[in-house]
Amino acid sequence: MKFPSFTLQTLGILALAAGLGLAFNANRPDSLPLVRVHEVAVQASPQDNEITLHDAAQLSASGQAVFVDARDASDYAQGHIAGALSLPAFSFTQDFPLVRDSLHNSTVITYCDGEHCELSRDLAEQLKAHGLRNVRVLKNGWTLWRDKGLPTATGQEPLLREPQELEHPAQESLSQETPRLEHAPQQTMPDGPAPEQSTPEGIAHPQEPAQEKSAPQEATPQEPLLQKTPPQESKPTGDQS
Amino acid sequence: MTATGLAQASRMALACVFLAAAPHKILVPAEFAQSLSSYQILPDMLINFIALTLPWLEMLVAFLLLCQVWTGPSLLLANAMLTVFLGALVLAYVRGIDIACGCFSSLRTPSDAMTLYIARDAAFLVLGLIAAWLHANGLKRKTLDG
Repeated sequence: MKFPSFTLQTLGILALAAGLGLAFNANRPDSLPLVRVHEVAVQASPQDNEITLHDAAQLSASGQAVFVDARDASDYAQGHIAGALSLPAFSFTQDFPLVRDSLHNSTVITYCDGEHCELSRDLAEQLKAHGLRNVRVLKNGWTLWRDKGLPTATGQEPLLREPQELEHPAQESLSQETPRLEHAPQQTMPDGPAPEQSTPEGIAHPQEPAQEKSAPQEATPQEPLLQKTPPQESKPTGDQS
Repeated sequence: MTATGLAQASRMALACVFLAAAPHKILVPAEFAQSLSSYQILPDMLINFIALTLPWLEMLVAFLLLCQVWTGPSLLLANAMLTVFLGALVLAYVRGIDIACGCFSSLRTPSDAMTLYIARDAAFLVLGLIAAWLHANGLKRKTLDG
């Protein structure tokens, strides 16, 4: 008798495993449905310092909240809550000084993705440890926010932000910002995108990076723009023209 | 230890790994499905099916390795599973997703254990590859002798 070939044996094992699994499940009292129905994420009752999606959206609409994305930069670039800052929990020490000034005087809402994701909670604890009091966690925030059809954005975060704009989001005007930004224009982060905001006079105008502009639902008022954080001395650099 | 003994020992060790991993997932498939879901790799439609059948595949492969029946395909499937598991863990780690590993149980573990999981799975994969290599060499030797 000729034994079945290697491939047939492999397929046989796979089929047998599938059969055993399905048969066992069919005879279980608490059998699992074979196909998981796509569930629209539903938020569980908030605990501890968590915030509901409803409250977070309201705070966002009124410009009283700053969202902080605890996921890594690539996930942030693929999609994030519009206006959110990127502060990966893993690189907190390195990145926190860049966003510190944007987080005071607002409710800070941290989020990541997934019911099991603890990054947002870790980040909230780290923020509290650094003196921020009003920090809340939006559990499973990205999925909840996106599924609800609330404003989202894609692309990388500008490394320079303007904290004042968070406080007066709707009344942004270049003329208001110019005096303060006169000291900031050429100071970009070493790995930051090349700024396009320099005028011939060397005065920067707050602009969103290209990818942020192209996001279809840019609607939240507190979109981070340009900022020089931490404040640095307004010493003009030699290469400015 | 002879090459045959070594091959047999590596297969037994591999079988024990899968024997230890499968039962909890078979008994509590909902938890395992939740673990799979947290990896954010599989489409929702496939999660329950995989959660129901994968542990049985692990069990079957372990059984076949112990019984030395269909050893070649069993080793292939064992190594394929370990490769997929390792890839999923590395992907989750790189993406910063904090997950319940779902390797031997579905309990949540601290995120700093991810590197441990990855190292452990890599070690299992090395074991599997050694077992497959020894098995293939054994077959070749038999062919030459016979």
